[in-house]
Amino acid sequence: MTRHPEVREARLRASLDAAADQSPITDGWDQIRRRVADQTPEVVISESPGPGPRRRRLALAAAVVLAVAGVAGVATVARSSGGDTDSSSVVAGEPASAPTGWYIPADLPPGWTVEGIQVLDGGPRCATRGATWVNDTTKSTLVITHDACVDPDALPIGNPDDEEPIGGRPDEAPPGRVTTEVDVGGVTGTITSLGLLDTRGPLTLNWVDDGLWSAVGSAVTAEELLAAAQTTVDGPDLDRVPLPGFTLFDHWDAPARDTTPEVQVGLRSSEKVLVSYSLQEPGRGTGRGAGAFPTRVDLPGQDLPVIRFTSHDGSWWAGKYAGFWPGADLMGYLFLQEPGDEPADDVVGELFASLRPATTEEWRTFLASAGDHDTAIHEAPTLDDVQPG
Amino acid sequence: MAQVQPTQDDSATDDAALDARLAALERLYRSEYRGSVRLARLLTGDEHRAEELAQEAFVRIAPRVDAEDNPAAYLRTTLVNLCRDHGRRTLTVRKNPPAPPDVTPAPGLPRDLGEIWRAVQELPERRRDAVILRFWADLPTAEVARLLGTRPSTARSLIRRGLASLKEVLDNDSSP
Repeated sequence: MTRHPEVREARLRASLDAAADQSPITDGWDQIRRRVADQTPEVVISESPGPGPRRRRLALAAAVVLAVAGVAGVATVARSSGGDTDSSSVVAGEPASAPTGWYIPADLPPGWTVEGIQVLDGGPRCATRGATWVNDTTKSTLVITHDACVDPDALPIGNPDDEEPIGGRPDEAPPGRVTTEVDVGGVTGTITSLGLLDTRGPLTLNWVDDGLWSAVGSAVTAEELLAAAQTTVDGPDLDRVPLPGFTLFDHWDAPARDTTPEVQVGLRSSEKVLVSYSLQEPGRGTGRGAGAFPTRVDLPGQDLPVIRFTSHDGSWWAGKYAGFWPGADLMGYLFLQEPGDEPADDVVGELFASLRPATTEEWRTFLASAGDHDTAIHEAPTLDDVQPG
Repeated sequence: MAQVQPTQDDSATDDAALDARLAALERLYRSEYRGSVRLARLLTGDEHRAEELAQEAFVRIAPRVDAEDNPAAYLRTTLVNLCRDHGRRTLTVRKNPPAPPDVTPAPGLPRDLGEIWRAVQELPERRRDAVILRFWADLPTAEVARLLGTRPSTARSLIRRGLASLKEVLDNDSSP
């Protein structure tokens, strides 16, 4: 039989009341009083009641950022989320000035040239947050993200209430891909693979639960990916280790935006290899290395933290380096004539070693030297001010 | 409330402050302790640990109990955080190795109410907490969201999905 919602709620309350009263409650005042009296003023707890999962996430993200930065005077890292008033700033030392988000190459070897600078518009984007988890033993990666919209109907892929699988039904799989439906905490999700599902990835699992969730696994099985997604669903949120053996590598947030510009700077190396680096709002780094294994590396002359990605099959991943730096996420790309046809020199590493934060004036001088560039970025004093045309 | 008398003697001042704090805390204890233990029982499913967590919440808020505008809300926030931390540790233990759900038996409950309680305990953690805070603690969705550290829309979704998961057992024919 189907009961009226109010009847259901009344039965639920009755059950919870009964469960809460299953046994008598003993008096605890003496113990509380003794413990409070034993506290000396020096051990007074002055903290707030508790940070809550979100603030803990931010603190964790801040800790990770500071740990990888390792540089005195690291500038401000701001993380916030659309629809939330919650935001957090982490300041290590006193920054000389607010970061512009501009980074330009300095001290590149002779023969390098700037080919052009352009602005791409990613369009409106929901608030997003995510985490990268790695297993150093198996060289596996899990990138779990959540895109939330204040208005769920604004999700481009459908209404969460419909619980429709994203990516289509199995018989609607994109050409060359395999999809299968799975249950993620009572919600239908879709696993998509570039090949067979038992190839250990890269695999993508999408599901809708108050926004779009995505788990991308590399060197993991479909079963492991599903288990990781289930752990995320069980909560409290992204701060739980998704699979045994994995550790947190990175964690990020970005607010909702009407436009999400990406500035791309193209260069040609002295060996005529075409490379580029992109600048995006913090938290929007293209892919954040999903599907590849990240490693923190030291590059000669570069004080900012740099991440190098390696693919597992070496054939499809063109982005080799990333810097999640004050004011911008940077991703480095290598353009190959043929997959696997990589130059002997580490040209993207060479480029990333040379990148330095720039003031507005320095950026504009760089633009002038670049010749062909979009006027939208000439007028913007900072990356955050870029308005795609 | 005990009167705090200014004095040159630091230890006497400390004693008076402690007395004032304990007096405020005892008033809160008299009004909130029973409800706190009951809430902790529901959020953790652990009768014995619930009393310890409730006492821990009182001890933690003691330094600021007489400075808070709403000490009961402050207490509840602290308690919910403690219970959720406890739940995460318990869940970690449960996950290794995988085992049948560790559900508290409910021998003292009528059969149908026991089934509902078991179904509540089997909900994913956040859905369970959201359902308990909304329907048992009778908190508005915004407060549930604040306590769970999430957006109101997420809290609404958790509550809705939690209820949907319980629909079958709540509609069970054998129930009154």
